Amino acid sequence: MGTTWDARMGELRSAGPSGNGWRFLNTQWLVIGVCLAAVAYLALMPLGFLVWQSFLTPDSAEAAARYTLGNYATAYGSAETLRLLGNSLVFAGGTAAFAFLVGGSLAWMNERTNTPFKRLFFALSIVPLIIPGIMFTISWILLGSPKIGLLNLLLQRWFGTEYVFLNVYSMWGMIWVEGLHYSPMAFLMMTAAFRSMDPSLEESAMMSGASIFQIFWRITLKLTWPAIFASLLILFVRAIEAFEVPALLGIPVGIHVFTSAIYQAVHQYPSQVGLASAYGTTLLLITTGGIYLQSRLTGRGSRYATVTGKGFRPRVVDLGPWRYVTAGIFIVYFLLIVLLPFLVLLWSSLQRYYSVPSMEALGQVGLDAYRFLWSHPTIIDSVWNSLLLAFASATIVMLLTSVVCWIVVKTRLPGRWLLDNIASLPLVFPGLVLGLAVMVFYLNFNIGIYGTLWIMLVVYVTRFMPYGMRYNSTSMLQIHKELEESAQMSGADWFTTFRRILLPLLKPGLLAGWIYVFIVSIRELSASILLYSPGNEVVSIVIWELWENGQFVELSALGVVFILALLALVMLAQYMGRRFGVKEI
Amino acid sequence: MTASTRAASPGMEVRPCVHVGWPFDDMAAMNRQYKEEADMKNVLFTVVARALVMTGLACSPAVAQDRVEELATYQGPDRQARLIEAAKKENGITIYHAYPALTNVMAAFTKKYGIKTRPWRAGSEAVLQRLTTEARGNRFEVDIVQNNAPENEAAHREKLLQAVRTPLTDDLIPQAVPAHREWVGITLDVWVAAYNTTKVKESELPKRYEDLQDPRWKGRLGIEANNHGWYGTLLSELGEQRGREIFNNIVATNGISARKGHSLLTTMVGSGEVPLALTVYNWNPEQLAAKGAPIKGLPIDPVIAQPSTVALMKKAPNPASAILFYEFVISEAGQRIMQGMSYVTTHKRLEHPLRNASLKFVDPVKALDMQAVWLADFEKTILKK
Repeated sequence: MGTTWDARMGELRSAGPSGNGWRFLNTQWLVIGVCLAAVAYLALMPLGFLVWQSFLTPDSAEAAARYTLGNYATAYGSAETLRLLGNSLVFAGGTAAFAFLVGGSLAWMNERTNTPFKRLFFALSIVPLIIPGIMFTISWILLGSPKIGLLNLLLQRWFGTEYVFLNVYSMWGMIWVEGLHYSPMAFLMMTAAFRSMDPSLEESAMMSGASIFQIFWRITLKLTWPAIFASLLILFVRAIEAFEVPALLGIPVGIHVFTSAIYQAVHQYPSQVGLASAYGTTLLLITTGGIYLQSRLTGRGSRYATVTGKGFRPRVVDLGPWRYVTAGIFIVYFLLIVLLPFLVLLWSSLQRYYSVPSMEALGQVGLDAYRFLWSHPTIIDSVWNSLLLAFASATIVMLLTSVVCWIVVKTRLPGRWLLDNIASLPLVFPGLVLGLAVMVFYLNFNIGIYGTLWIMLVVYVTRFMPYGMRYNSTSMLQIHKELEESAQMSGADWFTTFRRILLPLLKPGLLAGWIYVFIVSIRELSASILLYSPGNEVVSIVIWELWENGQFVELSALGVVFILALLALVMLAQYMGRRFGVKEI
Repeated sequence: MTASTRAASPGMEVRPCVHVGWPFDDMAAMNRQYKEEADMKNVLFTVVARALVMTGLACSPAVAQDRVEELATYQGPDRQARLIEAAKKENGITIYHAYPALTNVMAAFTKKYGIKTRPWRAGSEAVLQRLTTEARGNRFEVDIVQNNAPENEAAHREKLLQAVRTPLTDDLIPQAVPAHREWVGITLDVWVAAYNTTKVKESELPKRYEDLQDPRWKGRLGIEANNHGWYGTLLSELGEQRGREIFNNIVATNGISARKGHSLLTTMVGSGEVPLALTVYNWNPEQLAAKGAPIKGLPIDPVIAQPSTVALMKKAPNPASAILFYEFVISEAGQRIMQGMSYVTTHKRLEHPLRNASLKFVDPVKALDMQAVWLADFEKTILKK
């Protein structure tokens, strides 16, 4: 396809405006042009804002902003920053590795093996992501705190000792909680990659007498290397940017991370947006490095393409008796990671205030919290707004980035990795800085979207575009160019090929990415809180408000409803994907 | 509210403004549209088309600032009647607030005057951020802002607020009324300690901060992670050197675990995770205890308070209604509602045991000027040990 593109570019150039080169100015160029313009517009605007602000002093009525290098001097002139960055790197590295290990192995068991009942586990594997960050972290405090953690209390009673078995307030605890919370991100990404894998190579290995482990290590992993790298990269960068877990588990024991500094900077008067931006540039550089590495890794043609013109029918590995072991792992995972935090929430939602489970507390069980939710004035509207926004942003993000990924992966356009990078950078904009950038922009460039849901849609699409990029490019890499070529040989134009060949084959990645963006859009808070307006609240704002009011019990009830509802939605999406997607076995 | 409805209000000087209509004139209509058609594509096209047409055509609501000032400072005997009359021609009020207490007050206000309120709630810093950013972008939709005293003092420095002269301020304690009168204290956030009644015996309760140096508190103390304003004020009351020494000792001997947010800290005390917390707002433990949780507030001298304030925006689009609200909040009726929710009010006639002669106040001006110093000090002494 790359050569076709180049040839066309050449043709277009030589033909000139009067020649017949203009016939290529059709749907292809329109779609590509619009998508490129959209990505550039969405990503470059906040990037420009961030860089511009990083050279400015705070603006206030008393002292107007002026240009300075002081923000960089403050940010990087102290050993403290290095210490914070060090903590962040350990935390993010650990989280990425752990989340990948959990999510990746679940995905492998789910997609590539004949583990019994695996279909049930797909939706359940995503539950940790659905639980709002605050709730997930707090339920782990209630489980793993040295003082009141249920797991500790249980083990202590069991063994008749005072020994503290688990301490969630530690670097390990932080990695555990954050890693579990984001393991579904790796799970979804790896699921998509495993689903589009041609099993013939694994089969040949098996015929040659390789063991299951050897097949896994030497064939499966090697073929999915781009997906592995993409998962690790995005998990790592996201964990560096994470705030909730370090704030709730790290601060109590004096473990501070890089984002605390960013948070501290913007929460002052006058707000030190410039300083926060200067801190933010480090995150931009780290991301850029990662994207560049990935482009080097995957830039060499179709090494990883497994979906080819040959009959393609993914088949699973027969684990033999081991399949009961993998089923056992699923069940343990489900009980420990999914059910326990859920039960903690459920328990708390039935109480009038949170207390450690006991016979006495059992007597106070009631449904007050659910009644409160039912009579909450804005909850129905906010759920509706959130669903609309999540649906729209997930759909726009996945379609937009599928075209951009096509350019990045399938053409030889010079500087295409920069395009990938630009579309990926919003990942690390601190949420509040991104919210502020969009706010300032649309206040000055008034097209009537300020104060409506549309401005939030703009922010969500910007914020989650990077995830769409990673999900789509991973799947795109697996599709061999010969499929597009044969479509074109049969007379299909670009748009038809894209719509009828590429999009259907991309479906595993599209669906996985769609589910991910849908869920994280519903949870988005840091930019939403600055941009929502009276009358268009979203669910994350309601959650935040309950939290601020100390209505922990009501919040738990909302969490429970939230999990059940989203679980149903994910199952529906999965069903639709199966119904209309690539055939599975 | 759109520019067109605003322009329709008489009695305001209105700059001619090309209203390039957004397809939806209000959010309800927008939602209906969503539900009926869900035709995003069409609408997106419209947006893009309109964007192209109107690039550079920003229209700002030009409500005369003089009018806001005139209404806010009018002292005649018919002040109230004038306001009510003028409010009839306005379109409700928009309130930015950071406070759970205000919700019930807004409901009572609407019931009394029939004026609708459009609340927008966020954290105190986000409220200030949105105010200043909107003002710089020439957007003036908000009428009333409620925030902590230092944040509203910052809004005063940003020249966003309008002084209000109302006889009702005579009924308030002096700390609620600054000389510039651009905000008014509606309640006091009083920081108290709180303890879990099953984990801490009554006999061991501390009477002074010095008592917390006792090793019996090892691993049992908590604090809110952003309370540098409290800390700075406390140190000046205890004496800088002595205060710092006490806290250094407490941290060295017993450690203080910092938690983000007062409600989290309170929940943690109620659940037994933090047996004794040093800084919760006085209503936090009261509200939780009312549900039956084993938690109790404990004022330790010197007790520190900070006013929570309400202010009128200089460019409020609905000034008369806004002033009515402003006065309702500090009226005895409004204050009673908040007293009923365990808040310490600023009304002289509504007494509260915590609002006594020994109560010390955070100075909002000092809190702004010393912010960086106090923050660094608090971090060094308490957070990063």
